[in-house]
Amino acid sequence: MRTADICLVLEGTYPFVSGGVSSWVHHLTTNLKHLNFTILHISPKRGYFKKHAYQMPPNIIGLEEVFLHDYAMEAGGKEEADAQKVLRFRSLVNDMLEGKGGAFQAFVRVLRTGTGERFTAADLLQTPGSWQVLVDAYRREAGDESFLNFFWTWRFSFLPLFNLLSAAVPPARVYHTISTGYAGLFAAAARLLTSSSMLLTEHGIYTKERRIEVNRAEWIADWSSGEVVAERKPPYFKRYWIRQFEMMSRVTYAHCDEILTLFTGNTYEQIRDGANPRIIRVIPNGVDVERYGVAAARFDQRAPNERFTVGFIGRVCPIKDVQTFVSAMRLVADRIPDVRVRILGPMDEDPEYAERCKRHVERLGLSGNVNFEGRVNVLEELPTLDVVVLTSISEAQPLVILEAGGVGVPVVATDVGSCSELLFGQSPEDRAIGAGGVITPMASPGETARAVLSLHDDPDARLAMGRTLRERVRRFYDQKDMVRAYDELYRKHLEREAVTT
Amino acid sequence: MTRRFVHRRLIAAVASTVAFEAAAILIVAWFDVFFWLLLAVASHLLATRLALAAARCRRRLSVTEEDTVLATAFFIPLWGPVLAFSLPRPPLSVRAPLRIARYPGPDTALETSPKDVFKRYEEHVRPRVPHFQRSLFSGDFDRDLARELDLESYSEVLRRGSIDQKRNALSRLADLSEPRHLTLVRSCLLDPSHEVRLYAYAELERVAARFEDAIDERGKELLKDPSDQEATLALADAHYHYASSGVLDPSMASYHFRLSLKRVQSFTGRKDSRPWVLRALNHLGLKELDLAEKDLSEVPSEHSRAPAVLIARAMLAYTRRDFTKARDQAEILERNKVELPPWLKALLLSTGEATATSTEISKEISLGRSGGLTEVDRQEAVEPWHRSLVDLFRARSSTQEAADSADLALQTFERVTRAGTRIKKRIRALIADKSLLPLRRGRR
Repeated sequence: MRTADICLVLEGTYPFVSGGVSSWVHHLTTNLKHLNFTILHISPKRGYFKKHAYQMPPNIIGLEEVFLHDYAMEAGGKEEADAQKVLRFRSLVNDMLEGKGGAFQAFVRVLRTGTGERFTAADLLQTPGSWQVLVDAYRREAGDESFLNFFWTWRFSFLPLFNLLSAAVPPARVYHTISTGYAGLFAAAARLLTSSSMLLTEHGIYTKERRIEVNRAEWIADWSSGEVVAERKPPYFKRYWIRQFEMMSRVTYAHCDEILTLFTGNTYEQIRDGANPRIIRVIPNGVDVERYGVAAARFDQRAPNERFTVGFIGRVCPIKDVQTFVSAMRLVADRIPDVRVRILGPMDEDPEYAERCKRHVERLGLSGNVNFEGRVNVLEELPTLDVVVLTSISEAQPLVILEAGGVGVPVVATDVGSCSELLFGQSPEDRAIGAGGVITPMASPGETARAVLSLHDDPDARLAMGRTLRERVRRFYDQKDMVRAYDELYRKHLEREAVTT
Repeated sequence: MTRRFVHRRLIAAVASTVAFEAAAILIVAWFDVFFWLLLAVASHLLATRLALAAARCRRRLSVTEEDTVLATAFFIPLWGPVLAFSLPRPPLSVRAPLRIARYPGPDTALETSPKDVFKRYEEHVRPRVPHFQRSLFSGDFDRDLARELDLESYSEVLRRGSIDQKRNALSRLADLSEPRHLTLVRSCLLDPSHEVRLYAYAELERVAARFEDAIDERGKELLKDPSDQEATLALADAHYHYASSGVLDPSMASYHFRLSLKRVQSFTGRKDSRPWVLRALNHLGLKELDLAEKDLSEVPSEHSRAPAVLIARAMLAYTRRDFTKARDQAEILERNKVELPPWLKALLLSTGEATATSTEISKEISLGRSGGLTEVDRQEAVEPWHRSLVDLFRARSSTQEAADSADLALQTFERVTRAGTRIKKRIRALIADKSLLPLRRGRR
């Protein structure tokens, strides 16, 4: 296999899923034509992602996939007692969970060694010794819990590690992971095995997202859910998974040469999770200002809309809280009955939720106002909107604000991620430019509606906010700056790798 | 005569038979041992041993001694199994049986080939949350429940707790689903921690989905026959409940109040008071108190003493802080033996006259503390009682009288809780009793 300059390690995203992270990867690879990339994509299982959502540029020279839950057990299994091996495996995992130095190196070594010391999945899961270790661990750690749940948790937490860390590492000079978690763990292993540089760019904070997901998950058994108690800690199995993900982040941060993120707010959480503050850098996302300039000219020259038009740009999925947006539009429609509401974004990510949103539109009697238009060319549609609304409950640095800013459409956004930084500015110089929109609390249709109505009632202020946002994007969020920063970063690490070689 | 009958060999034969019987019972009960059955079998064996020892001893026994041995050998061994089988077993009611396969446990799994064991577990469908009937006597119950009942403590947890504490408190508040609880959950949408905001959002969404489904369902029914008055009222009712749930932000709540109002606006010639009451309640929700009063004054005279009308009047008076008038309505309701809503119960308690209500609450408390509660018991007994107490706390914030009554109720609750703790400790002591150790050892 040809050695790539950069190996991007991705988990459940580009080129299979569209969204902010995927767009970012696509822009980066497309713009850095002089470098070649290979992608290692981590999926839950074979066939989970079928179609490519992006046409990959020619400088992506390979796409490898690792499937976390495809278990190929050795036929027959072993009968001899080998509890020692399993105990060793378990103690290594415990050492990693406790953050002991060198534990991850030892773990990777025993998974990949060619000698008799090597672990296989069958060692862990199909031998009498492993059964004994499993039962002992259950008695020691989770005696009050269901054994069945413990059995499955054990399996689901360890088998992916085997698949992931035993997978072939694509040859590359720099490994760049776009999240911690399984992707980060793989990149850390690749760094140990090849001594190449390892970079991490976090858009959202993976550990935080998983912690929230685990705490809300219904698939994780939660015995205390029926009790009348307000406990201090989450239930055992939730704690188990949270610890697992925190361990992955710690290992990833510990092996990174540089940690990049999109906005300052993220850096605090990274430091709290164990990242070294000295290697953290902020490189914000950006848009192609020149390309958006054409759309901006169209926006400036257009005749005023006959119907006040509010746009929602994004995937129709729970994290975007489209229902709150629709509720807000109900309140707007009470004042402006002919308001036109356009929901522009794919609806296939969570069809059940999309269906709920449609029902919500009907329930609120907005069928005449709201249109679900599916995936569209944002650059074409943005100039036709008067206001863009973002009601997300969680974001990192939403591309839609930058895109709206590129055209000059003011934005009403919830106070999540870097939305307020984008609308009001971060540095004193940035803040001096002015406000590019309105910030509202999350899940508050009343506040969102009030903000939209205030922009409707004051067209001059609306246009001024749009111009301010355009100016901010032009000065601080130009995609060229982002690409240049990564180009320099890659060059630095490629040179270092050349010297080492 | 007696001495002749009580022959040593005869005693030995009887004792052996009884010992055999005891062993058989023990084997039968092996996999499903009930504590008292074991105790009875143990006493059986002990008595047999004593009889044997007496029969085999070389010393000449007195008549009384011989008779005692006989009585021990015959009556106690008989009494043991009789007692064991006559003892009631604890009810094992499962409200909604889930598809959880019974697994034999890790110990027995080692008896077969490990491969088979793994195969068996691999074939298992992953269970959902096991619906175990757990007693409330677990963990640091007293402190947790006391904290839970006290909304002020909840606010404290939501203000100063760790993220995990806040998460748990939010989840519990959403389970209780009282408007006041949900208002607290809503307030967490402004928490400094984004994680807490997301948990609050998730809980609100979970509760909101129930109300939205109800509206959709009623809407579908109305579509079948748009002239159906009952369906229209049901839909208006669903909108009212959603609006007053505390889930929605004030603007959307107003929207649903208005929608409900719009649905009931046209009703006039009905035989019951529902449309007027619903109109009044919606106006109350919109803080249009005069309009609410007007609605209630328009209720046809034949319905003016209907419970729903009296409750709505009490609510209006309560909103206007006219507690005397609210109490008057509540007293009429109580005289007519109408089940009062918890907040009205609390208001009545604040006068110190509602002995019946307070006895009822105490009874529910006793029921709640009387033993291993099932999930059904918990919902049927504890939650109404809990809601009443919550409303006492609510009332406490309104009047000094109510505050005194709430304190009294809280003291009663604490006293009963302490009694519960004593029972719990006794049960634990019994289980930990050293005299049971030989049996435990035997089992292993």
